[in-house]
Amino acid sequence: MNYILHLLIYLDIYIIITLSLNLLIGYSGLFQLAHAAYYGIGAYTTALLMVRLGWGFIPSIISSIFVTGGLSLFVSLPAWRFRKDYFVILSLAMQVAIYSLLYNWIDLTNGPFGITGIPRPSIFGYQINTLFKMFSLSTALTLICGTIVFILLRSPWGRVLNAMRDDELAARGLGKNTRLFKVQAFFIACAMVAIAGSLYATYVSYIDPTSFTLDESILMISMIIVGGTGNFRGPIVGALTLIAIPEILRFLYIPDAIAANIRLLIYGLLIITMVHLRPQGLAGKYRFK
Amino acid sequence: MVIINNEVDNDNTALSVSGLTKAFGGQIVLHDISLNLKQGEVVLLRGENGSGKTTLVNILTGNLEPDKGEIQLNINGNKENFSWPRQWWKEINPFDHFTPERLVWEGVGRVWQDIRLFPTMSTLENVMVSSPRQHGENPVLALISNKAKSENRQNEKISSEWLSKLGLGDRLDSSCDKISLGQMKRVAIARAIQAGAKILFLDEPLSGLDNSGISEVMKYLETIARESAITIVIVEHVFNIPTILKFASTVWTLSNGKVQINKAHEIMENTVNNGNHLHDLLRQIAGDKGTIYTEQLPNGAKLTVANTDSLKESQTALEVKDLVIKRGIRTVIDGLSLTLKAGHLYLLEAPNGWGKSSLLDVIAGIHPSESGRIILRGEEINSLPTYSRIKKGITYLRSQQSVFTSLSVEEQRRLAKTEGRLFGNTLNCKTKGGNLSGGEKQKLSIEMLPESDIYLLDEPMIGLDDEALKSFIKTVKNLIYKSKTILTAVPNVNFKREKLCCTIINNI
Repeated sequence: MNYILHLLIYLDIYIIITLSLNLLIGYSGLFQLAHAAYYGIGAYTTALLMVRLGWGFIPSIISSIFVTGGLSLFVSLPAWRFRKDYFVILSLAMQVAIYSLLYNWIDLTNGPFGITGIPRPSIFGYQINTLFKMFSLSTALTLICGTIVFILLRSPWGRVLNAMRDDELAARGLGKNTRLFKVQAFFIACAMVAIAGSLYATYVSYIDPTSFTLDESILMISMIIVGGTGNFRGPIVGALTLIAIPEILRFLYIPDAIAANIRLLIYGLLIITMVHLRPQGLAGKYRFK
Repeated sequence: MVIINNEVDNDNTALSVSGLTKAFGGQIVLHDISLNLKQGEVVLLRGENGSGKTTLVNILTGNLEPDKGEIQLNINGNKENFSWPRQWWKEINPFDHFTPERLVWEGVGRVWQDIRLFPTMSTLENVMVSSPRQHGENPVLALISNKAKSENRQNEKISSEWLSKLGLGDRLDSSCDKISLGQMKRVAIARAIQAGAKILFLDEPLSGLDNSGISEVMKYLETIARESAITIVIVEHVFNIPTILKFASTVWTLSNGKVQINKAHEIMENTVNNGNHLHDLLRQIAGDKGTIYTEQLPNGAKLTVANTDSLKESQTALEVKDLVIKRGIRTVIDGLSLTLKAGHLYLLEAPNGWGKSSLLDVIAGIHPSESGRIILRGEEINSLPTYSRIKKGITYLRSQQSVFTSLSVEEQRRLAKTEGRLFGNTLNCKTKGGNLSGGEKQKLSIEMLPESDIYLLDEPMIGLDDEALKSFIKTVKNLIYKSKTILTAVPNVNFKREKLCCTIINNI
């Protein structure tokens, strides 16, 4: 049972991450490679506030949302001018820079040794001290994030994001301030991934920079490509699929030494197959008649 | 067709331009241009290829900044003034930039030559997204405000009514890449007006349209000019100018960087005989000995054939047998058979959406066919890739101007190993492909065609000015005399040639 709950908590965390990333890649056409870095900023902010300053979970997660959202300006402001391939390179640079910062700013982040002893969340005095309670909290936060994304994507705001992804100049030619929309989309996506980061940090009690590498960003992108970009179901299906694959491999009795490599191989093959045979993803949106 | 000649009597200037100058890499495109646009006026903007029509429209819609000059807007009492060169403090102020969105807020809209609808969205969403100042565009209000939701429902209702008025009531949920060209152009106009345009710039709104498409768009333009009192500036190329002149009140003619302003009726008499080039071409090719005849093809298309000598035995150059072409799940062409002979000009006239471009794409090997055979001089070429087909003697000019944007004209000529300059020195050798005007790109695409036995030309004359058309027609004639085969596809527009094509004329 504990194993299932553990998986479900991870699934919740990754659903929040992929929903937020889908807002950028799927709906806004902004191929963000620095999402793991912002996930890390969210996790570190909450961890530092809780461990070093002794703050509670709620003020820590709220601060984490605003800090990460605010720092999204480092990507969203350059996105005004850098487009397509250039933006991908820029976000890659941001991923590497933030990772290096987490790794080397030892006074603040404890560098490669990470932060230990992150307390489990406590909400208005109620201790989240069991796996089931943790799962309930992560599910509640996932539902909140999912509802926000669901409403936003069906609103005029979501429609403008779609227009911006299809043809930014045409959207500007209809009077849409695409710069503002980019800043808003990044703020919301990064704020949401900060929630996932905070959940992760308080769940595992220990974080270090290796959890927020470029590989992690690529895994997040793989999830939404496999599930399907530009629709609401895609990220959920993608997260479920890519979390399930390594777990299924466990039952195939593959030696531990090669299991990780086989997992990567399956990810790679899955992405190539999806891009080739079903570019809209497993849960992809079907085109209009 | 209802003819509107909007003689504007009042002195209500909506847009005023003075001393506008723009140069690209030292080449002056617009030089000290001064114009006035009055409210409710309908203007035709014309000029030769490269005369700066699109540059002027780009500047007046905020897509390009001029080097020098002043633009004053006075729409619905809101006055705005832009002048260049700009002071440094305006340059660093992020809220005082000359951008397309800012001009839209002032009431200046644009319909692009290549339409630019949002392809993943439905027609209804394309119109809905353009509505200005919606509360739901603020993400916080979208989440918590009931007003945003009711406003969105109201917007949906108004947009549906707009589209129904345009005859698109049954296509509200259709994806914008699945509707015909005429419908796309109407959605684009509706979208610009929904965005609040009081001055509307239309870049070649009739190009590529067939008869019914042209009448659809013209009918709608007349309605909005009459009912909504919207000021309209239309850029058009030579074929469609007579149609626009019936509707326009003023003509701006760009030449050598200067603008000449005339009343529409002054220009009318000089242009009514234009648009007759294909008719002349077919007749000239047939000459005294040749024939012109028409074959009816399925779904309203027709193939007019001209040869130089009806008694001369011609070899079969290309055969298409029982060709079936699909685009997605839709069957575009179902069982078409054609035989093309050497020394013949084939003019394929078909309505928009018939599959003209798809047919040429399949013959050239760019897209696969569903079934059927393509036989080049007795050899089946279905399985050959495009480059092999080109080597075997097929040359293809696609309807999208196929130039390389980052290479200069000279580099592209060298790449294509073009020896002669078909259009003389009208193209600047150092200009990059991306900086050429629409007509110039078309000229360069034609110049770059390799010498071959069979020429597939998709709308080759689109965007060409009078002089370029003459050069092009001369080249086509020479190719036919050299026993080459030319298959050219055009929308079935009602030129004078149609009369000729509908009956079999034997000139012997």
